[in-house]
Amino acid sequence: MDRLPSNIMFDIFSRLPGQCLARSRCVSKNNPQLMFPCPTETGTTDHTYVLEPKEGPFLEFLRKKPLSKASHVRIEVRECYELPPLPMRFDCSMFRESCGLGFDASTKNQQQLARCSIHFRNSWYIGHLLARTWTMEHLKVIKTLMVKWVVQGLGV
Amino acid sequence: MSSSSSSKMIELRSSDGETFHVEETVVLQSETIKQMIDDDCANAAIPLPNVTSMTLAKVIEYIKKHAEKPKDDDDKKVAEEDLKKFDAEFVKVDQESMLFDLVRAANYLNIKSLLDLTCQAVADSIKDLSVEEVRKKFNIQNDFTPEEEAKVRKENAWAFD
Repeated sequence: MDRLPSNIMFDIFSRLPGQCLARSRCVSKNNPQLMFPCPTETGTTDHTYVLEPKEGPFLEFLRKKPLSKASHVRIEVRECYELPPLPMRFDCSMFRESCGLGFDASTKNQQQLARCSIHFRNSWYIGHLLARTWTMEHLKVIKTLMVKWVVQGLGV
Repeated sequence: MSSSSSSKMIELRSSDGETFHVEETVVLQSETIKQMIDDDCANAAIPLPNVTSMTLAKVIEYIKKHAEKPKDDDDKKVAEEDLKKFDAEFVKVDQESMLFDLVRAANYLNIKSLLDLTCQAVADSIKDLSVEEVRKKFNIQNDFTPEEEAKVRKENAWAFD
């Protein structure tokens, strides 16, 4: 059977709960779209991404892009999280960078899944996103305020 | 003028050569076909080389149902419920490949609500599958070495409980 187009794969996988998605990451390494579904880019401008709130323990994504340097991710509600690198192995040439919020059903917390990068003033910046555990409080903030992520990059 | 244009029929031809006649008002749910009509390319039968007659028949069944207009507010509620039921039944297809065909057709014809419905159905169907089953379902080659796969699985161990 023919494969479904990659935009459709994004669509399908972005509908999965976090746990399934983390499992999906193990499906294949050359199919990054399977590991990291694409964002909904609603309300984006040059330098901000707005994550669309979803019901339930779903992942919310920025976009994937290969990058190397770390920076911070600032949430516009004036909370700043500096996040350590992830334990995953990334290879820039493989276009595997991405990020996401994952939901850990066992602890009821949001957890990191990957790294992200954001287009900001014509450059790509990477954020080590979500390396700390997110509480439901954070999630609520995200969902209610449509939190904007702004990466204050260090440049690429 | 308006009555004749509302009942105008559009002819669609599937990849296997079967033709279907559908009211223009119904078929406008497809952005792709709407564009063709706007561009005045729909005077002859519209060829749909990516859609088989079996799939096209299903798609037409869907857009016809979704084109029904409720008469009044009471009717509207009933119609909404009815449509929900219809949608739920619609994606219960015998063959899994049919669901994938519908996804492709909805994507090609650019019928957003149908794409949404079918993608959700596929997502629901893979929610509880193992990694191996997901690979099989989407025809994906496992390109990890056993060591790499073990590593990735370890990193995502919480998801396998």
